[in-house]
Parts: sequence; structure tokens; C-alpha cells
Amino acid sequence: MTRSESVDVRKKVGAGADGAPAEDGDDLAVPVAHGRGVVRRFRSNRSAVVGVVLLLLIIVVTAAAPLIAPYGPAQVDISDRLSGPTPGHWLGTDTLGRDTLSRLMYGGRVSLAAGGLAVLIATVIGLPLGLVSGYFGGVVDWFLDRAADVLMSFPAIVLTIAIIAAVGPGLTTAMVSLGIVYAPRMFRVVRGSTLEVRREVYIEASTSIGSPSLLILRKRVLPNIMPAALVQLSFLLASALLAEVTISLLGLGALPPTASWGSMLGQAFQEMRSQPWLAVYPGIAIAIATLCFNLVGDGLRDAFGREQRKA
Amino acid sequence: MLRLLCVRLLAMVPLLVIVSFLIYSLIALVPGGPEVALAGSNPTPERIAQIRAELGLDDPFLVQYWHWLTDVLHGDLGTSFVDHQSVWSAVVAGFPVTLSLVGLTLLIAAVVGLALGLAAGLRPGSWLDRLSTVTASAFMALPYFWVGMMLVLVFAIEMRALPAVGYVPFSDGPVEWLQHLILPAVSLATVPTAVVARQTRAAVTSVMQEDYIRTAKAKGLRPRRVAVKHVMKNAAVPVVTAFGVEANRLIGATVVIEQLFALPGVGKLAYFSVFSRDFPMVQGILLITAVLIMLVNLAVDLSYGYFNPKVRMS
Amino acid sequence: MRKQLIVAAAATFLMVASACSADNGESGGGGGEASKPKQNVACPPVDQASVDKSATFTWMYSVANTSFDPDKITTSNSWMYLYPVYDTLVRIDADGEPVPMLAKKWTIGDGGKSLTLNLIDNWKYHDGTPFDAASVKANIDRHRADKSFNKQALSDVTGVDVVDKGTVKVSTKSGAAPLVGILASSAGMMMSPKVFDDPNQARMPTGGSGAFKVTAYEPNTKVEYTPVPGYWDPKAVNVAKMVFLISSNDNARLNATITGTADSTFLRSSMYKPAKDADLVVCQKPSLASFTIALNVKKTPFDKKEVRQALNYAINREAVNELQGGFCQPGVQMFPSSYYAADPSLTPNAYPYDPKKAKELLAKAGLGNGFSFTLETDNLDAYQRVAELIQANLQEVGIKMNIQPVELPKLMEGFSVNKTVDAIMVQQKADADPSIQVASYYLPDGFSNPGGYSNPTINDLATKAKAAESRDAASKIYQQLFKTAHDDAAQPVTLCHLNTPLAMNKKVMGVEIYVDGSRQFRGVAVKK
Repeated sequence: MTRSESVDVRKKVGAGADGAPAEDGDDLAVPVAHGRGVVRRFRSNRSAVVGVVLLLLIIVVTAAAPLIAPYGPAQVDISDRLSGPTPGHWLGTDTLGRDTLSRLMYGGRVSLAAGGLAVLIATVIGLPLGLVSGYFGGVVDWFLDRAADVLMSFPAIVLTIAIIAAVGPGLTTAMVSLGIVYAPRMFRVVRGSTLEVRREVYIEASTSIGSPSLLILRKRVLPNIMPAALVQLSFLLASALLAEVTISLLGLGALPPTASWGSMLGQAFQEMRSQPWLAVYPGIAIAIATLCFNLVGDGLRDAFGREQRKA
Repeated sequence: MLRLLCVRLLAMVPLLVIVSFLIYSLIALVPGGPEVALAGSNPTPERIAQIRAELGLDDPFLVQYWHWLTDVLHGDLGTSFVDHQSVWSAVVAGFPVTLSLVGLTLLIAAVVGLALGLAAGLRPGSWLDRLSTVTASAFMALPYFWVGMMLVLVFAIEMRALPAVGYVPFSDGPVEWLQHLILPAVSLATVPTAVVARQTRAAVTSVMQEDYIRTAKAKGLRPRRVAVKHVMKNAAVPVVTAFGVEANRLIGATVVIEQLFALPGVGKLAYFSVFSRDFPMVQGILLITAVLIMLVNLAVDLSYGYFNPKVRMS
Repeated sequence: MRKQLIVAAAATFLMVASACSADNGESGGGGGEASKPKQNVACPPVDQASVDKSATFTWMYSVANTSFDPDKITTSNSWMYLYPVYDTLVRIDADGEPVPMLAKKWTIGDGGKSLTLNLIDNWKYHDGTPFDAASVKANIDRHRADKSFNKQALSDVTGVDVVDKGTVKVSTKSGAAPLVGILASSAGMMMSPKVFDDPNQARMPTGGSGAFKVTAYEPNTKVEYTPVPGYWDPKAVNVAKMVFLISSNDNARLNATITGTADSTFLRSSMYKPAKDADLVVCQKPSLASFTIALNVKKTPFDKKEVRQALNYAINREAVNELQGGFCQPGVQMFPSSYYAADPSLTPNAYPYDPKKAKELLAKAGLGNGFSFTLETDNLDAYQRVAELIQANLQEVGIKMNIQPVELPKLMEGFSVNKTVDAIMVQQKADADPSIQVASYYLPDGFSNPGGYSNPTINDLATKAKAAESRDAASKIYQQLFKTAHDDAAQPVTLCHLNTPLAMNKKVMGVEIYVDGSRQFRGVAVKK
């Protein structure tokens, strides 16, 4: 089942937003000799730059929420519920009369942190195991690869729901389980890249000289698989953000009264017909953030990818 | 090819045993079971204990697993704790619905995605390319259930053109079947469509740079027509690729979409069963879905090798 | 590059456009000043002249039944699916009054300890078995046997005697009056004794005694009922088919009713306005169900009366009603003050919203700095919003309440069985008789009283109420009982009494809203 995941790499690779064709997943696993060139190319890719700028903006605004939000995220005012945009509440209020703008800012912190946590866990598990698996091969590789097969054959969301039903709801639980479910996706990409890097002549050379494996892994392999890992990271982030919404929609996400974009959207659906605006704002926030992560992923991949063609 | 198939199928067996053990332990080790809910209103502690014993929940874990596994090997997935229907028949009743939904979703994704990808790839940088890329990016970013909700509001509630909920089996009327599935399938199809479109676009642009296209151009043939022919011949590759990647995600997404459209599929069953702690049902559904996903992955791998000889060699 | 901006703009535009296309009559403010809906709106009655006897009536509900055998069900929600198939000995009508059904008449005797039922003649079970006293005895004995769902409700019964072919006498330990209501529930449903041991009855009942047979069944999705020929009460059958559809998604249910897939469904408060806007007929009536917070009084500081009182004063019940769109009338006792088993003097004014007083009471209990506890509630959206409101109320008086949403089985398990949870918030539905709910919350070994709260006066009154020979007598005892409970600030904390409106299209006639919250469609009809 190895192939299906290298197919996944292909998807990212072949998915050039501005037409960088890339036939082969292997092109991620190449020496990064010209870091500056990558940065230059990334900067010349305006879609990626827009993505980064928007993301930074979102992060700054949400991080500064306690300073700039006009109300507290759980400040209830039942006499002013479900209002549309007013001077007092620029984006209106929800069913408990809480300020939508403030909740959007605070909710962004929760959603982004949650997505980050899931991807962090996926990386912490997937990256080292992928390195080891790809570099050493043999029994270890076979075993880890089967383990990834096992995890990959569970429907991710259904598995997450089952774990939450067992452990109890809460965004942290949800994201930890999501992280575990995502781990094989990171593992597969890293493993694939490591295999390629390993084949490169200069690695063979350093092996023959007799450098310890660990050193080679850190000094030679790790920097060369980072591009692939980074690209996968940004796509996983986008995916985690949408998964948080699904989980919240099923009532399994952030505990009340915590706001997250997903829980806001879920609640808005209940009031869809009396206050449709409520669903618009978190919907836009999620769409833009997801889009930005995808754009950055595309940009990174193109920047790294072209490096190889020159090389 | 046949040998490869056999090897891969055989390799699935140990994998399945591990998967089944994980599924079983995940569900069975959950603190607390369904017995309180099954004991009715205001139950006595004795009644609750009695139900636990009846359901076999007091047996040691490995004994429970062994019983379950041997039953499964005999083709018996057990009976529901909640309404005592057989797990197998419940899943069999739900699968046509979910498979119809996923099948239609993939069909839409293939047709629309290919069209978008071709249009974009043949004239990179044109307004058509931009429109197609924009559409694909938007499809990637919009939450699918939000799309579903909007489609219902517009096509079912406002225009009354399509039914808002429910399912009609294909055998009872293909037209009704399609009418009931089209809205949920379109909402699910957004992301796969975008994936297919991007794959196709990349494939087309790369073909356009191939030597033989240049040759064709030099010969005075119309390069786009040649490219289309070539791409169409290989269209299966991006489509199959997208299917492989999306299959797992789609199965998760059906859980939400089947709720929204009140479709009596496996997703709805899974959701209901998890929350009523219907252990045999959840275990059965997870096991069958895991097998299906493995088979889909296998089919994708094999067809991928088939369509692209380069891969088969490696 | 412009196209990324186009994407963002397109996404924004799409969402905004659809928000506007959604029915948005009232974007200026849907809450505070909007006029409250009436509490009592009758559904259209049956007009015999225009009944379409060949019509199908389709109802859509949120949860399925767990069996079709009245003994094997595990939820009282299942009753709705069984009523068409099984007639009960007594029937509780929409207003909560007992009326004859399979028993045409009954008398309470032996100093309130026994109930004698006179049965209707010439009726057969669906499988041809005659309906007689012996079969009634067999049914009641089965209902009170060990593994039956109805065992608890019938636990007071000591024996059932066949007096003659058409008369049965049920004897009880402490009082037979509650039996009248109990025999109108699943405990009074009559099933052919021939099929008692047939496990298939759970899915395809063939031994019913009611007006309909199940003719198609898809678990968790759909039940189809067809009338049985020659039903003893022909007025009760006005349709050629009844179909019950099931969807747990509120939007799906509403959409189905608006587009005609279903004829009728119940509304949660957020669905009321859209249903009205879509031109559906909406009718409503106050029910005995309530939003209730149950406390484990063994957990400090809920053992202190002042703290329980402080909770009552700190909660803004009017705001809860507001949040529920006016469909949850504030209440401070178990049942609405207009119900026979209630104290009419205990109006919502008994616990006005008074955060200052709550703070004083907390200070008096030595908790001037407040305290914190965890409330578990159903993970449905409606419950979580109410919990968030309570959370904000309590915050004002210095009480920190954490909310933990869990699924229903876990809720009961944590609170009532493992007794680890501080407090839960539930929608308490009315049981077959007030005595059941009283025992569950107030008596020391009650299921919803894990802290073992006990008050000798209440225990005594509860026993007396069960033995009362008439409703009037019971009413007086309950009045005293609830007064005592209020004076002691006994748990649970009642927030408000629910009113769940029904929506239906203009063709539906004869749907009734049952005050006990049960869903029955006896006599429902569809216009030509």
C-alpha cells in the first residue's frame, strides 16, 4: 500500500497553482544547496506571498484578541441576541447575545492552535519514524510500513469520533486523536523522500567513509527531506482546520463556552434560518485560512521543485 | 499482475487481524458501556449488573475478543446491543446508500474535474485557466457541509426543484434515486473535483511540453488536439490518483452529509451507534470499512501501476 | 497575482450571497423585542366531511424505537412507535385525563389498594387470539417480570386475578391510583400471549392489539403502519397508512416537512420562526417536561440548603425562556403550577432572579468567595446553549461552573450509577404517573438522587400520595409535598417547563399535543 501514499505526494507535486508541472514525486527529495534561491522563488510567487501575509495577519489578530477584541468571548447579553451588524456589534451577536467579532478573534486562536497541535503530533510521530524507516529499511521499515497501513485503513473521522466517544469530548482529545490519524501521512512522505536521498551518491560516499548513521541522518538526510515535510505540513494544517469543523459540527469539539471557528459554524447552523449571517463569518475565516495554507504549500513545493530542475 | 494481486491480498490478512484487534480493544476498553441506557428509566443497580452480564461485558477482555473474532471468522458480526438486529444485515442495508452516494460523488468529480483541468491546462495563463484554478481553490477551501446546507436552501426549499431529504433505492426508480442523491453528492464532490482538476491540469501542461507535441506542431498538426488525445488516454491516472487519496476522507464526510440529508447509509448508522455505545455495530462498521479502504487502496495501486508502466517497474 | 484575491472574493461573495438568499426577514434583531409566541395554539381538528380515507400521514421524529415489544424497549421514546400497534388498558388523553380504552371502566377498591378493570368485548389480537381477562393477566405478569422494561413502573403490584372473562383485578402493596396512568404507558400495552416468546416481535410485531399493523420497517429510518380491518373504535382510523420517519438532524426534519417529504414534525425553538415563515401550520401547548438541573447533594457544597437556594436565585429563568424563543415557561417546582400534582402557590415568583440575594446566601453558607463545580449535559446544541447561559448567570455570583457535554448514556452513568458527577442538566420528561418522578428525585434511593437526599416529611407524603383513592385526594397531598420540597430547597433545580410546538402542512387534521409529552396520532386525518 506504499504506492497510494506516494500517489499522495504526486498530488501535491502535480498540483501546481501556477503551472509548475512536476511528473515525479521524487523531486522533493533533493539537496537544498541554494536556500536563498528557494526564498527568492517563493517570494516571486505572488499567490504564496499573499497566503503568507494573510496567515500572518490572521495570527497577529487572533493572538492579540485579548487586547483588541471589543468584548469577552463568553460575555452573554440575552436581551441583544441574534442581532445583525450594529454599531455596537460590527458583526452582530449570536444566540446568547455574544459579540461575533470578538468570538471570531478568540475562536481563531483555538482553531489554529488545535490544527497546529494535530499537525505537531503527526510530525513528532511521523517524521522520525519516516526517517528511520526510509534510511535503515529492512525489518524496521517493513514493520513501520505495515503499522502505517493499519492506521491508514481506518476512516479518519470515524476513528476520531470513536476515540472521543471513549475518552470524552474536548478539543485537545480530538486533536490528539487526529494527530495520530495523520501521523502515517507525514510518515509516508518522509519515508519516500528519505529513500530517494539515500540513493544519492553523496550519501553512499559518506557511508563508505564511515560516518555514524545518526550523524548522516541529521546532517545530510534531514535537511534534504525538510522540503517535502514542510509541504506536507502545510497541507495537513489545511486539512486539520477543516477536520476541526467537522468534529465541532458533531458536537465533539471545543467545550462550551470556548469559541472556535468550527463550533461557531456548528452553532450558526442551528440559527441558520433566523440569522444567516452567523454562518458567514466563521465560514469565511475557515475558507480563507484553509486557502492560505494550501497556497503556501503550493508555493513551497514550487520553490523547492524548481530548485531540482536547475540542479 | 495476477501474482501481485494474490500477494497483496494475502498480505492483507495479518493486517486485518491487527486492525480487528485494535478496533476491538478501542471499543471494548471504553470505560462504561451501554448497560445503563439499556436498563430503561430509573433502573436498579441489580438490573444494570444483570444486563452487563447478559451482554458478556464482564468476561475478560481477551475472552471477549476471542469470541468476537471467531464469530467474525464464521461470518457472524454479532447483533446490535440496542435493537438486536444483526450487524451484518444493518450494514448491508446501509451500504447501497453510501456506495451510491460515494459513487455519484466520484463520477461528478471525475467529469467536472477533468473538464476544468483540461480547460486550464491547454491554455495556461488564459482567463479560462484562471477561472478554473479559482474554482478549484474555492472548492478546496469551502466546508462541504456548508455547501450542502446552501444547496438545500436554494434547490429544495426555495426552488422546490429537488428533494431535501431521504433516499429511494435505484431499483425503485433511477430518476428518484438520482434526484435524492444529487445534492448530497455535489456537496461531497467539491474537494475531489478540485483535486482531479489540479492533477489533470498538471498532466496536461507537462504533456504540452513533451517533445512529440513539439514535433506535431512542427508537422503542422494541431498540438492541442494531440495533447487532448494523449491526456484523455491517460486521464485515468489523475482521476484514480484523486480517488485513492479521497476515498478515506469521503467515508468520513458521509457521516456528516448523511445526517444533513437524512440518508439511511452507513455513516448515519455509525454516528448513531457510537453514541448509543452499540459496540458490536461500531466494531462491525469499522471492520468492514477498513477492509473496503484496503481494497480501494489495493485497486488504486494496481490500476496505477497498470496505467503508468514506470511505476510498475519500480 | 489577482486570482488569489479573486478566490477569496469569490468565497466571500458566495457565502454572503447565500446568507442573503436565505430567508432574512429580520436581520435587525431577532431576539429581545420580538413578540413572544402564544403558549396555547390548538392544531386543526378533524373535519369529517373532508377526510381523505386513502391518504398517508407521515410523521418525522428525531430518535428511533429500540424494539416493537413493549417489554424489550429501553426508552420511553419508543412508546410513540408502539401506540399504533398496541392498545393500552387505559388511555391518557391529550389533556392528561385518563379515558377508557381496552378497559371500558375501572374502579379503585380495597381502601385504595386494588384496581378492577372491566374489559371491552369482542376484540381480538392481530394474530386472532381473543382479547380476554386471562390474556390481560398474562400481559401484566409479563410486564412486571424480572427483565421487563416496565418492571419498575409495576413494582408495587402484588398480584393479578382473573375475576371473570371480562374482568381483571390488580392488587398493590401501597396504592392502586398510580396504576391508572401506568397502565396507559408501555406497562399497559396488550400483546398476544402467543407471541410472548417470539424474538422476531422486536422487529416485526404480529401480536398487536391496536388500530395498526407494522407493514414495513427499516431500523432507524422508517416505520410504515397499515390499519387492521374491523378495529373496535373505527373513529380512531382516518388514514390508509401512517409512516414514521427518523432523522436526528433538526435541519433535515424541518426541510422534510417544508418540502412535503413529511407531513409533520416537532420543532425546537430555533426552528419555530423558519417553520412559520415557510407557511407551515404550527401549534403548541405547555407540557409537563422541563429543563432541570439535578444535584448530587453528597457533593459539597450542595449539601447546604443555602447553596441550593442561591443557585435558584442566581439563575435568570426569564432569560432561559428568552433563549428558548418563549417556549420554556419559568417554573420552580417539578411540574407546572397549573398541574394537579403541584403547589399552585409556587409560581416563578417564589425564586425571582436576584443575584444579590444569591450572594448573601452564599456568604451565609461560608462561601463568600464562591466555588466551582462541573455540570454535565447532553451534547445536543440546545442543551449546551442553555448551559452556557446558566454558566454566565452563576459567574455573576462567583460560582464557576464548567460544562461537560456528553452523550445521553454517559450522562446517566456518571450521575446516577457511578455517582461521580456533581450535577447534570436534562430535559425531564413526564413519566406515566407523578409518583415515579417524585420517587426518582426525592426518595433516598431514587435513581436521580445519587446523593441520597432524604426528608422524612417528603418520604411520608410520597407514600400517602400513592395510596390516595382519587385524583383530588392525591392533588392535596402533592401540594403539601412540593411545598415541603421548596422549603427545603430540595434538588432538582427546575428551570422552566417546555413547550415543544408541532409543525404540519395545511392538509393535516386531528394531530393533538399530549400534555405529558408523549406523541400519539390517534385519529389523525389528511384533507382531500
